[in-house]
Amino acid sequence: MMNRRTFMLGVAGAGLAACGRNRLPRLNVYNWSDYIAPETVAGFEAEFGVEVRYGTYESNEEMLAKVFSGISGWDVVFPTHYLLQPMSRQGLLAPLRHEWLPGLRNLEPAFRAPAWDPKLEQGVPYMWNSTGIAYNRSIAAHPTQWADLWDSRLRGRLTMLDDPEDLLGACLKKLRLPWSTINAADLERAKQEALAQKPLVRAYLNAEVRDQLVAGDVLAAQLWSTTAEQAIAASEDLAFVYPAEGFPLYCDCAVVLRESERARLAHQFIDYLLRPEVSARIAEHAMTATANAAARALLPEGIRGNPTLYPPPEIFERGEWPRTLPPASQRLRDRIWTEIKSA
Amino acid sequence: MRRWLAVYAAAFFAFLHLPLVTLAAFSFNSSRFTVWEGFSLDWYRAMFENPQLVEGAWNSAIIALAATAAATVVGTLCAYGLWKRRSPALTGSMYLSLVTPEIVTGISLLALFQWTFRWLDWRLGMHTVILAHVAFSVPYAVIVVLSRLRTMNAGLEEAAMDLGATEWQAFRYVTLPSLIPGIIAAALLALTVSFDDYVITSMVAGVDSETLPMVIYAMARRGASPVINAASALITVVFGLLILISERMREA
Repeated sequence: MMNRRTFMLGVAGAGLAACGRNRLPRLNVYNWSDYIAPETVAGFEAEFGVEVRYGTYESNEEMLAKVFSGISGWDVVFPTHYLLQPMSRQGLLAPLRHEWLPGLRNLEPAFRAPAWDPKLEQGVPYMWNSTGIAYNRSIAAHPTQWADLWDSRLRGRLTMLDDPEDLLGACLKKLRLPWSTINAADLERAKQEALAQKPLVRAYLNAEVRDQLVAGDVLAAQLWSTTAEQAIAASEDLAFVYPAEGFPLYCDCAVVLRESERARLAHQFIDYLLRPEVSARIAEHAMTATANAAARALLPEGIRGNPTLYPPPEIFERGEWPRTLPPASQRLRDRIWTEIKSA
Repeated sequence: MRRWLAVYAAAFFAFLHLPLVTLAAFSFNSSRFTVWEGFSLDWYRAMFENPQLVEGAWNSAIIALAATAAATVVGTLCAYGLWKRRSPALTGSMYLSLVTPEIVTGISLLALFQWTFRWLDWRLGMHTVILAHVAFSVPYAVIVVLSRLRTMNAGLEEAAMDLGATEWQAFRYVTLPSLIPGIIAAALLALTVSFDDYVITSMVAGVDSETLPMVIYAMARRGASPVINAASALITVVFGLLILISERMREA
């Protein structure tokens, strides 16, 4: 009898110990996976004498499912730029306190007043990427525009992204229409383009196409710039191009959640990420493009001037920041996507 | 006819257990794909070296033990009360919470937490997961204990009281001892449903309360890995042993 009682007390004690385990101030940070350098969090903990709980997610949806309750316990998350407005409208975001973020001056001018958040009231631009065409140099005519992906010589050696927004976006851009259009007639035309292209397409693939590109099985692929850069690093035969008609740009932004009770510490963490040397280490480790000009200057030449990660200004200008789609338009796009995939 | 029955039984058990056997077999495969290469324990080592899996298992154990202890005590007392009261409406309400879809239970618990925590200024975490687990495992405990109580003779307690026992003594020394097998069964059932749960847990979990099923689900979404096979096989073995032990205890 005594034994059982001792055991139960032990369990209760372990539970209590788990609750009061540490007395250091805590910060809970939820970020995309592989989006930080190994020493980033440890450096912040040591310097500020705090403990950081660092969790990772794979998609915006996964992150939103956690934080929408407003009592999730997370302090800092990293939504893609087009989510800032809807999240702010739902009352999830705390306004940024610029007096706590002196590092904002390190940002690239293009990211100091971005179209989606002109005064940087909601989120601090962190890292960005885009969608373009990865191709094998062995093909006779190197693609330069989306329209080149309708070339019948690519039959069976071409892949497009398994993503409704990116696939329809490429079709819309080929037709010189806006990426985030909500016009049903535009989307219908884009659908016809996608159906016309489908006989050439080997499969609709995302990052998993990387190995097939490296192996030379796939000669051209619609692909995200960061994934393309990984493929290019693995094979000299590969190259990447930003299509002439225009392309989307995505920027992930650090935000402080309104529910956070440690807004000051959360700002200190974001400001720490804005430090040139910290941001440079992350950009180098994650092989992605930083929105931080001072950090980019610290990168080795091979990365800083990498045309896949950092398109030159005249190309960057052709990029378009996708906007949040109204639910009705999103449903229409989902339906069209189903029709394309099942055709 | 007999032979066909045997074939039917064999097919039935194969259908029931073959998926798990396959999964367990490939957890010992040295290749990461579903092509047999050779025997290896690498995935089991990788499992114990994966900090997320270890933390998830630890969280799941704490949550399941705490929720089981609470649900068993509350459930036993509740069953005793229902047995004495004989209220069909209250007993029926237990079955209602059993048949409520998990997602509905999850959303309603989250709504309740959102509403109350606004004044308390609390966050989701281990405590909300444990509360939720107690909430959905109590009905299981009640129904198991209640079915045991129904096989008992209500006259025994009256006889004890006629012989001078107080109401408490009658419960403590007459009813409770004969309930023990039912209580153990209830605790085991509560432990299993608590350890298993994904849907409700994922709705009410906070920063530090990722359970093993949540970690496994997240890993599976990032691509199948034999580490998942190893973890699942181990969980099945542990619970299998637990059931075996409880059967032995009942026979003893």
